[in-house]
Amino acid sequence: MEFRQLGRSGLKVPVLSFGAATFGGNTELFNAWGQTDVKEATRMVDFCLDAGVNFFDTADIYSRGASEEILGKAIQGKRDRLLISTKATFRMADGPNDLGSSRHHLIKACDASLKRLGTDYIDLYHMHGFDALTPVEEVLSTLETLVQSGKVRYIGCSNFSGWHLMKSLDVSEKYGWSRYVSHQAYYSLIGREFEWELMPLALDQQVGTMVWSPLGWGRLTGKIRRNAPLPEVSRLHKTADFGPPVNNEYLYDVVDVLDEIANETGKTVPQIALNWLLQRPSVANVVIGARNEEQLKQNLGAVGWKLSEDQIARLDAVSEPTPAYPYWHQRQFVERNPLPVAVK
Amino acid sequence: MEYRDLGNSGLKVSAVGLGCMSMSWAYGTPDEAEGIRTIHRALDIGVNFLDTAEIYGPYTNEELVGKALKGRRDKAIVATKFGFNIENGVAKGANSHPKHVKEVADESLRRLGIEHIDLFYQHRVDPKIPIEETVGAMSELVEAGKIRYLGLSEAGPETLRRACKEHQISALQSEYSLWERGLEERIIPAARELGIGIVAYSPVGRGFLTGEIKSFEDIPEDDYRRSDPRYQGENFKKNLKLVDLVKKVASKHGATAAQVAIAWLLMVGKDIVPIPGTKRVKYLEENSAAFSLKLDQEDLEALDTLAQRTSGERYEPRRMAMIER
Repeated sequence: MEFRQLGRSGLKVPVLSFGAATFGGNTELFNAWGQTDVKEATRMVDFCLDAGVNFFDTADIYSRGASEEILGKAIQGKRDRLLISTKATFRMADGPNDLGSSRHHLIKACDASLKRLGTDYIDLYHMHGFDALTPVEEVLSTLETLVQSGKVRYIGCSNFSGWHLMKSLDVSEKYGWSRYVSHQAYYSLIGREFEWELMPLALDQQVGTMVWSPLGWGRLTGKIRRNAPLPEVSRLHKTADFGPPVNNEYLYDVVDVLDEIANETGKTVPQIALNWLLQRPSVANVVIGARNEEQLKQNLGAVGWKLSEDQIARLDAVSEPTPAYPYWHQRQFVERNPLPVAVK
Repeated sequence: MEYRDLGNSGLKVSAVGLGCMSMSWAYGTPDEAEGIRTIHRALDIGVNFLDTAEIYGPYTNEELVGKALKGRRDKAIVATKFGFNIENGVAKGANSHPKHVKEVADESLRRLGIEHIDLFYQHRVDPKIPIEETVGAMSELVEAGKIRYLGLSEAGPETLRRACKEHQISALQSEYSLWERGLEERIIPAARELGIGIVAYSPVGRGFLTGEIKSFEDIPEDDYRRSDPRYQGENFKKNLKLVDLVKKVASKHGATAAQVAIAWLLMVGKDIVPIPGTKRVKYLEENSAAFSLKLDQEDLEALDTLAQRTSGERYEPRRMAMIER
């Protein structure tokens, strides 16, 4: 397994981490995502560890704590061999303070996650979304307290806008507090908005990118293509509304090129889609999900080889999105605004 | 229930809180059982913001709140206060020495039977101790996980500014009501600039604005209010006329005078959270329902001049000396 430095931290993470969102499955969204009980979860964890994937990503919100609980049980006796990322901020109960990144909620949420995970520290603690109603100073001073107390090793953010992250980094800098070392963001061959603002920011500020939903909310599994209806088992039937919107024609065009490259390389569509991500600037890690060992094995086949420059160029070309303002305007001045990745 | 941000913090508190002092102290005869029932009812209807202090009792009010919180801690935002030397059960001057602040925090935690205090106030500014030292000690309590948010009480703009340089202050608790609006000229503007929320104590004039207290003799012998200048002699008579005005507005809406007094504060600004005190379920329900009462322009104009006509200071001179303006 290849390991990369996570942002401006001393931590090395494997390029693939295992997303435990499939563990638990007791809410509508996560039920469709996959139900993995403790026994199966333990087998998956062991399989990951054997393959060098020693990094597990979860969140308090995944099945309202059940994902953390199952992961916690599955890693018993193995804690020192692996890294855990979890997240807080989204609503966990009905009260007015059972959400957000306030000092009130974060301390409570962190203690609850530790308890469910059955561990006394979290390697990487993500703010799952930006809380615009809590001052950034309150969020980061609380996270600093959690780091100082040993409950958290590193902090990260997720689904932030550029200014959310930049403002947060500035506050950390100002007070000498821990800074976000990772940004867990949505990025895929069919969702490249990440490249406009968040990728240049990640490079400039040395914040490592952790990619979630690298297969575009389950659309790049190789089972969906032109003239092929959605397979019956696809989670997209139930969850498409929660994920990024994708135009079908655009998706089919991208999959056509993926199919071509699959023929050339003998790799599968998801393996190619993951490999493409691993060669993008700022990406430190890609979170992969799996509903069973077979899917996991498949995904692990994304590493240990590289797409050629020509193949990457073809994928770039077919998947290139139309930029929003001000990014299209900035492309008229690339001389002083070099782009992190090539465009047409 | 409507919830409001406590200053610029990420904490939400109910728009109407619950002052617990009178459950143990100062007004009339304490009734612990009814007090506990009142707190339970408050939490059940979403009034989550409970106010107590070390000095209430002293100590016994925190103990009462602690009893009421058993098994319900997660539903409550608990605010308490430090800041006095207490000798033989009586406050003997301010004490906000850092060492004292930390000792009181530990004792309050023990009496309340909880692991952290949500909002810890300095009860009165201590002129002997620079505010930076006190707030520094409070911020160490935040780091230690013993308290979550910081508050001051009856502090003036300069103190607020100096305090916020040391650590964000989330709430200023001061007396504010239809008949006491001393905060408005200098203090509220400063608090708004600094992102500090206003927690209004005695929003119903320590009960006077309910209109239920008809004469000085209605007040029990050992009741604190007998020492409030506004309740004494000619002041009492003059102030009764103010209450008539509040009652008039109330009858127009089919509300009580207390509800008008609370609704008025809620309409002054989104950053204001009144914490009417009561030891009875009945009044808790009445007070907390005030958030749905909307006063109109005519009401606001009628009520606006009331404070200018209040007779008497809000405290006797010794206590008044502890108020910053």
